Amino acid sequence: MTRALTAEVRRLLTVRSTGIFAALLIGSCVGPIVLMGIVYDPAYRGPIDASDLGKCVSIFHVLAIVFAGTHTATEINAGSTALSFLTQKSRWASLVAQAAVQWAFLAFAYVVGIGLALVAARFYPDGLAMSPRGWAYLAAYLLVVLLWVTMATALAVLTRSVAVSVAAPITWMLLIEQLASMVPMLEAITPWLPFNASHMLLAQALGEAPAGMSVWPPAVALLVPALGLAGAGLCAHVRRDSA
Amino acid sequence: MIEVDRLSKRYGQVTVVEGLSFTVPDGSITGFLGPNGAGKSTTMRCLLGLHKPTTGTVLIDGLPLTAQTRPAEVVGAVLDASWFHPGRTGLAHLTTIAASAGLPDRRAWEVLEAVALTQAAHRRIGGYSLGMKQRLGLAAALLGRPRNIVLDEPMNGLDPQGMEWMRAFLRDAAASGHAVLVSSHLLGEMETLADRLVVIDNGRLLGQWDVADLLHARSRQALLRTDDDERVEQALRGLRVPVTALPEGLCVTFDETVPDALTLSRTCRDLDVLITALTDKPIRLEEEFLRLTDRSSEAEHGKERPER
Repeated sequence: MTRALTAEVRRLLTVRSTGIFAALLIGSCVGPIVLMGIVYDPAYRGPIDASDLGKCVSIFHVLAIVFAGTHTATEINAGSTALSFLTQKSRWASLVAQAAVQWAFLAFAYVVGIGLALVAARFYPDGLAMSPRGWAYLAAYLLVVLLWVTMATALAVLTRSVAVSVAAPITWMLLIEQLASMVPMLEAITPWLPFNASHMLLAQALGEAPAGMSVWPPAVALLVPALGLAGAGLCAHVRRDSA
Repeated sequence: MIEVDRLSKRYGQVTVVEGLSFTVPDGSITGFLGPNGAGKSTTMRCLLGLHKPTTGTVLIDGLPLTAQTRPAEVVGAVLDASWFHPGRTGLAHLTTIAASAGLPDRRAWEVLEAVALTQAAHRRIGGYSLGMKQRLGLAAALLGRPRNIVLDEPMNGLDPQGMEWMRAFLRDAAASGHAVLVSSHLLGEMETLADRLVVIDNGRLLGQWDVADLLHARSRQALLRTDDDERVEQALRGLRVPVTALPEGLCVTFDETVPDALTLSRTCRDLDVLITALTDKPIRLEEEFLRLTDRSSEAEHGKERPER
């Protein structure tokens, strides 16, 4: 496993696109806060809080999916699976290592990005206001992002296509679920859709969820597709003929 | 040594490889031949465990590759010239594979030196020529100092110098005891490079031979020039020996009546004709390959033809 991890770290760090993605991911967290300070309008008086940072993280979320789908599918199409199978004893190790390295990279970018955003917020005219629930919200958002990244990675493994692995989750999040929530007949199932579930979980973390709402239904709604796709991806990686 | 035993591979209803058995012995270059779509690449992928065989086994040094603890030391392979990320440098590509195989980084430099690519180590692979990519692929295959080498069309896109380099490299590898399996469409190349040949068509084995045996066994023709070709031709036709007049002399196909060059020269002596030149007309591998694959195709079509 150590070999697989080392190889995946090198695979990640030796392409130019990683640096570009790192800049975009970090920039998506800090950039909007800096911009808000520059175009400050007293009409919207009030300190920066966790939900403001959450708006930045929603850009990070989309970029993280783009990164995961692109990196995984591009590497598969560049023969990474075949080269791993020819050099490692276990087939599963290369995929698990790749997912772990992607998670670590994204978590690192998130921590740096949010850290810089918090620093930038200190220079915001109305300052920064972070409650303990705000920290929980930011931690929960990272977990949500990593679960969506897992789905994008699994789709890349299953389809070996950059387009599908990037477009499918983003279309689902930003189009299909939004449309579904506008259809009154689908009211019963929309809470069980993963993107809605993600927001319910985040609302819980921030303490803005309706009273008495349990954390488990949205957690299950998000975990089931993430784990299902991850399992299918791992199964395909181990059993299927390599690309 | 690579041993393939009754290997079959099916994709849905399509059988790509069927009951294929052959060996790739140590210390020799085995050419793997077959027309397009014969199943060569699929066989090689199954052989390396990249595709799972439907039935049959492949043993490399006595074990399936999946059971080897350090597969990179058992077999090195290049099956696809696109096994690179174009944005990565040659050195980074090799150090990544070295890390995956648990090998030290200095091996990357050693193999770059072995394939004469050290100058391009820090250049992105997207800027490499096809020949350089072939060399880099070979470098990756050699990282673990493997005992067996499997290459799919390694001569593709190489210039004459590159081909000469690759030829010398593979010969050295075989001479130092490695089992080398090379597929190629360049039959002339295989004729001079390979020690053994495995020929397949429609996923089935047509045969495996030593190149010399195959070509000599089929070398049943001689080119004869005399001071009276016309008379010799008439005499041979009278004996029902197949003979063709060519601009460069008479092409005589040996049979039971005239089985060899000695009998042919005796016949000329009996006719009181002076031989000015007598040479074997060797069968080219290309002719033999076409004969084998044509026969296989005819059999295949014959099988499919409905009975009347």
